[in-house]
Amino acid sequence: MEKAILNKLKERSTTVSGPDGNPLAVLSLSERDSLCRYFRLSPREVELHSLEAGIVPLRYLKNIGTLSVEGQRRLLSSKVAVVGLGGLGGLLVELLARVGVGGMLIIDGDRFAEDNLNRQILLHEKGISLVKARLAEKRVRDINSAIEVERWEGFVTEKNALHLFSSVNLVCDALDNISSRLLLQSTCEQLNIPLVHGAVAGFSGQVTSIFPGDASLSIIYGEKGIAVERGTEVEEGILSGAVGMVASLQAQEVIKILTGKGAALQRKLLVIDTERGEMRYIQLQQEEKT
Amino acid sequence: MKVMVKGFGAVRKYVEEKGNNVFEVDDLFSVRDIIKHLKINPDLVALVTVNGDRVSKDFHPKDGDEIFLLNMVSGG
Repeated sequence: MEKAILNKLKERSTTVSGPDGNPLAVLSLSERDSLCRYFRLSPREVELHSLEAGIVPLRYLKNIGTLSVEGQRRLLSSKVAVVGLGGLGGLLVELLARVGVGGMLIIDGDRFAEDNLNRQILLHEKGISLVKARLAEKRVRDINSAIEVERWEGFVTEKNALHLFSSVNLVCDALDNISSRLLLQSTCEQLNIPLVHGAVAGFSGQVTSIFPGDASLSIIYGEKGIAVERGTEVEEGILSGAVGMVASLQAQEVIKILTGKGAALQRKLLVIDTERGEMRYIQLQQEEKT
Repeated sequence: MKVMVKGFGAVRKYVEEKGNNVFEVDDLFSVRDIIKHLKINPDLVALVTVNGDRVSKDFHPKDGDEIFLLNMVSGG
C-alpha cells in the first residue's frame, strides 16, 4: 500500500472499543468518501486499503467479532453471482450487501408481478412490472456504495453461462426451476467454484453448499432429463417467512465459504419444515442403499 | 409389517390425510410400492431416508422402520 494512503487512513480514523474490549481503529463513511475524492479511488478500494491497514470501516464494526478484520477483507475482495432476484435472490443481495461482499453480479430476466408482493422484498406496490435486476441493483447501491455491482437482465443459458460466471468466486442459486439449477451446477463444476443452493415451498425449504465434484443437485433432483421442472411450490405456494429463512441460511453459507469460517453444509442437505418446527440433515455423500 | 411414514409440506399432507403416520403394508413392499400405496405423486418425492439413511425408492424397509419422504422443492 502506498505510504500516503496509509498515513491518510491513520489520520482520518478514530478509535473505538473493539469486540475484544481493546481499542480498534475505525473509518467513518464520510471519511471514506473524503479519501475516495482525495486519492481518486473507489469506495471499495479505500475500504480494502483500510482493512489491510487493520482499520475497520465503521459500517462493518459489528461483523468483526465474528468474521475478524481478515475475514471482512476477504468478503470485500470477493465477487458473488446471485442468480434469480425473486424471493430468495432479493433478500440475498440485501444481506450480502450489508455484510460487505464487495463484488456482485446480479442476474434475472424477469419483471416484478403483482403476485410477487407476498414474499419478494425488493418489490413494493409501485414496482409492479419493473425490471427485477434494476431494482436489485438500486437496492445494493443504496445499502452499500462500496459494492461493485453488475447486472444482467436476462436468463442463464448454456450459451452464456461460462462467460457470465468466469469472474466470480461463488454462485448463489436463487432460481425457481430445476433445469436452470442443474445448469448452474454444471457451470460451477467447469469453473471450479462453489454453488450455494436454496429452494422453498410453502412452510418448508432446503439449503446446501455444492463444491466441484459433489454434484449434490443431481442427487436431489435427478439428472437432467428425468427431473420434473418444479416442485411442490406449485401446489403449496411460497410463504415470506420460508423465503427469509432459506435466503438467510444461504447468506451464512456464502460468508462461511468466502471467509473460511465455520463449516459449510457440504454434501449435506438441511431441510426445514416450519409448519411443525422440524428440521433434518440428509447426507448426500454416501451411496444410497438399494 | 408396520412402518412409520413422515414427510414435509405437501407430502406430509398426503400421509396425514390417512389419519396417522403408521401404516400396515405388505412385507414385500419397496419404498416405491409404499409411495404408490399412499397415492403420493412419486415425482414430488425428491429423496427418501429410512431411519436417517438415504435410500433409493427400490429399498425394502423392515418392520418398525421410519421412512422420510422429502418433497421436491424448487421455489425461489
